[in-house]
Amino acid sequence: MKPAYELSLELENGVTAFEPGGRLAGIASWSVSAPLAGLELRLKWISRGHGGRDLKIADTIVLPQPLATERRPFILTLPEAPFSCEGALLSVRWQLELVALPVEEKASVAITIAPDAQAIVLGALPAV
Amino acid sequence: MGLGSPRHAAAPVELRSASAGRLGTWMRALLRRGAPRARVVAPRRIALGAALTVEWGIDCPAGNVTSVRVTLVGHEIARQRLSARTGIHVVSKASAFTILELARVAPERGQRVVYGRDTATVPRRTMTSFAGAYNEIAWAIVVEADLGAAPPLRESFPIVVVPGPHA
Repeated sequence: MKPAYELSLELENGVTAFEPGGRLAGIASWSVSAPLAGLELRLKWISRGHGGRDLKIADTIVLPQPLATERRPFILTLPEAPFSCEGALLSVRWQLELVALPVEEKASVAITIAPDAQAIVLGALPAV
Repeated sequence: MGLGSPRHAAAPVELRSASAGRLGTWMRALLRRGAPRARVVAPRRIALGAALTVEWGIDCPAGNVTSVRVTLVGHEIARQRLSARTGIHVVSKASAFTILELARVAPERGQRVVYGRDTATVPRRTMTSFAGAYNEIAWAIVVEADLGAAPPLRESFPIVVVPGPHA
């Protein structure tokens, strides 16, 4: 029988948009039927453009000694950059993931990191 | 991949033109000793919301500069790698998202050196520099000059824009 992985992330007050350098708090929950090698929270950004995507894991928090079923609070200090943005040619989006190891089963939540907690919109101007 | 997080602007230095070091530029300079040349002194990095002061100048032995425009320009750049028989080609697309004018002047005829010192505030809500393998946000101070009947001068001096202090 295939092992079952139930993973979820809840952010404090349901807030998903933050100032750069801000504080992100929440609860990671999981219930798994197979032995876990570990659990991690990964904060990453992905930049997508017309030719490809760049991905960087900005922070990894190891959740030590996970039980089979658990709810665990966490607090992260968010990075200063890059800001979430939508442009004419590229976008930058942030994601917080809860990852079960070694199988890399994931739960993820999209977040915004930008001044005023609003993604930057880059308008295209005439060529210079 | 990122271009760092130091918030504070660096001391002003003479910036290097984006075309400096290119073989073509070197050859043109060698062949045209009297060719006009732009110079820019400014911080290499500047924070969002900070005042950017730029000292700029154009050496123009022919004295034919009719107008000068100095701007701070932010670009999105997206790269695509294309495989072909001859190898991998990288095709870049660029789109300007911010053009902040620092100076626009019409010098008197015959001036061999045109210069100025101007300040503008970098927007607080815009993108900071970053460079990935495919996607990039790049900033530069751009000097453009009309030279009468001669081809116009356009030189770009890259700088790094970093996050500023938040309220």
